[in-house]
Amino acid sequence: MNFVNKEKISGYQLFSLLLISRLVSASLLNPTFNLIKTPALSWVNEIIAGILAIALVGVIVYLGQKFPDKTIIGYAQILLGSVTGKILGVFLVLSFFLVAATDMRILGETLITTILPEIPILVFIITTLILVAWLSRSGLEANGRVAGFLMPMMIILLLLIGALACICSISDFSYLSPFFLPEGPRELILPTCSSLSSYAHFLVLGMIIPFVNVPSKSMPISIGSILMVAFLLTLQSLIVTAFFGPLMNTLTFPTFVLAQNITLGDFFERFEVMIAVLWNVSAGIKAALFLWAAAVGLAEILNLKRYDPLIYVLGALLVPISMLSYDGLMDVINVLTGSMIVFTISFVLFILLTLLIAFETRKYIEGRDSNGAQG
Amino acid sequence: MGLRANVILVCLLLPCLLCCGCRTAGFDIEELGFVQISAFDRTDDGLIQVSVQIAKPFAITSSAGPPIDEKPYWTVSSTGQTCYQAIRNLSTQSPRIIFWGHNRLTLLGENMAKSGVSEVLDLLQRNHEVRSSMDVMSVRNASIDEVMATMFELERQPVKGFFGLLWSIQRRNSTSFPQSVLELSRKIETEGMEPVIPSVEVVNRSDEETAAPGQLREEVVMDSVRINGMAAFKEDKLVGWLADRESRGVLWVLGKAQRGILVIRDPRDDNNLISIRIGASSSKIVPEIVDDRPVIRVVVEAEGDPLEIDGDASFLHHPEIWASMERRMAAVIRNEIQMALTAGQQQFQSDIFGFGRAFYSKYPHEWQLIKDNWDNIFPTLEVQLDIIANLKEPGLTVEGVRQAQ
Repeated sequence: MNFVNKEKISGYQLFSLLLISRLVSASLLNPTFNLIKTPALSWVNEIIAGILAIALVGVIVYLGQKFPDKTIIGYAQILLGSVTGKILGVFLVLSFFLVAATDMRILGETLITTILPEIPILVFIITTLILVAWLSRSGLEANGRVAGFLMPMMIILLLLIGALACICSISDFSYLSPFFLPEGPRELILPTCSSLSSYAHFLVLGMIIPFVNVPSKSMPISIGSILMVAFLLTLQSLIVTAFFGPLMNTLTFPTFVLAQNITLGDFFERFEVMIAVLWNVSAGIKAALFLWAAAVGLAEILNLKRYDPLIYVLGALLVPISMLSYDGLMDVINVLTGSMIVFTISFVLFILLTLLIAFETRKYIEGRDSNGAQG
Repeated sequence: MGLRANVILVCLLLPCLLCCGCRTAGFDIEELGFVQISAFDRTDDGLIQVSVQIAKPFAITSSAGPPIDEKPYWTVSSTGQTCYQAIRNLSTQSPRIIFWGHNRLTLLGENMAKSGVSEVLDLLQRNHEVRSSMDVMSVRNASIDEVMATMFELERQPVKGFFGLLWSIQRRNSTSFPQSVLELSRKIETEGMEPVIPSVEVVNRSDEETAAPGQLREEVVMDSVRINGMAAFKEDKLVGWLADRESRGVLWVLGKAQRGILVIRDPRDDNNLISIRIGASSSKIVPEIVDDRPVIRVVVEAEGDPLEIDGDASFLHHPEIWASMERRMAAVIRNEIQMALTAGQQQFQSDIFGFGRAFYSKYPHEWQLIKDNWDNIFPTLEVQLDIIANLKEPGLTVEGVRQAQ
């Protein structure tokens, strides 16, 4: 794979890409909220999911660091053999492609539901995808720079909206008590899995690690990004619960409605506009990242020397796929709160466990052989 | 990417610049009618009636401009089988597309409130244009048409008048408290808590003198409105009206009574009255389980300043009189809370104080056992009151004007 050494991103850019990729789904739709039965404890599942995500990312980075110049598709072919590795690679490419398509569809559905209902969704998807494909074709380095520029603004904006919501007279923090689950801890399983399934998108890290300028820093940076995401999502859960109380699990776009209802002194209003700008840019960065990962993966499977010619082709394919994959917003929510959770977690566990077992078995055999040779 | 591709991409994106502007739902701002106040009621034949006040920008003048003898708003009504159908039927009368993004107040008619307001709340929360932080009030002893036809002496736009009243009643009297659509919906959905919202009624002034000698320009305001206590709900249905003092009783318990005047009798002479301005106050609802039955203890701490003293006002060297006034202030607060408790527990049987919610917070396991029976427990629930009243500032004088004997 000769394109790995052509572009490099810094640790800060890796942190920014991972953080935006996870936060964008929470700032648009937050399907996890729709699965919560006891809003007062909605923050608990975000903490549990964050802890589990650290284990997940730990395995991805561990394997990535063992093959510092190979993507996950590249070392899958070494560990599992060329044919099996390529089959697994095809599934990975399809998953990256599907994530980008879903991201675009959610962005389109969000914009037509909340801001511009008269404009056809296709207009948003096509115009955004033109920019996404352009950014993606410019390479990971360009996307990393954009993400690095946007990430602080995203965090500041989310914290600002959170702070404003806290001082808004509507907020009632008594909704954060009691610490009690009427149906017991099993209530937390589904929302935690839902949040974890969004962290599963960090599988793309397996494609990014060889492009990080200091691969050894990938582990602390990835864990740091998860901790930051978990902190922000926990904060979001607390604030949305204090603001909406028992209504929080009925909302389709919690962050948007929260920003829409913030009013300070009847003067500072319409914060939802800032949220809408955030949606567009951050969803574009995430889609560009996954489109890039799909193109790089496909180039590796097909043994191509360059991946960039594939970008526009895949980008064009994203339009029909994102349109045909879901019937509408209700379908998106139904899928994200149902089959997608099971599919995503099983898929990621299957991929990672397969690669981890293959790697450890190979290491054991190699160790035994070298010991045998010495003996 | 080559230069040619870049040029093509820029050419594709350039038309986007032509599409930007103030376009909402596909219409220019000049084509929109901005709703300021909306009202919903149910007609006698079961239809939903919607009435809106739409701003007339051309009739709104700045203070520097010449006065215009035209109302700066237009009131229009229509009916339909559902709220949304009634709203869409407004378009048969309005030449502009009705835009709800600036709706600041929703009035709920008495029939609608009694039959249930969930339909209206669903509409207001589902619609992307509407902000559910807007205020909501219940109309008492009048139709929504009558309320929408009222005017204010000091405000040309009724929406400003309503907000002035809400602000004033909250900051000056504490006999009502603004509630938003979101807060109303949230309380309806909250177990162990029922909503209260401000109630508004028409003040008929048609018989009053309107012409005054020497006036250069006469404006006749026939009917106006006033805020009269609060409307008590059970789930989404109106169950009764709270008078001013009952409303303040509820607000003492909820910790929302921040301003207002309490009148007590002078400890030295019952014929003399003393006005006390309510200062800061706080409340704490403490649920307890005594002998396997729920008991509520409400602790209210209130500060006040004597503002007006009828009779001998020399308290400076008489701390026992000061303490006695504090006890009397506490007794007045206790009376107001008792009045509210009687209304809530016996008259309406609606937990407008959130006692059930307090139980759930402290005893979540026990609440699971009693929540289904809470409607039967609440009317006979024992409520203990601890009122702590403190008088603070005597004002600019420590002694008043001497009265003639």
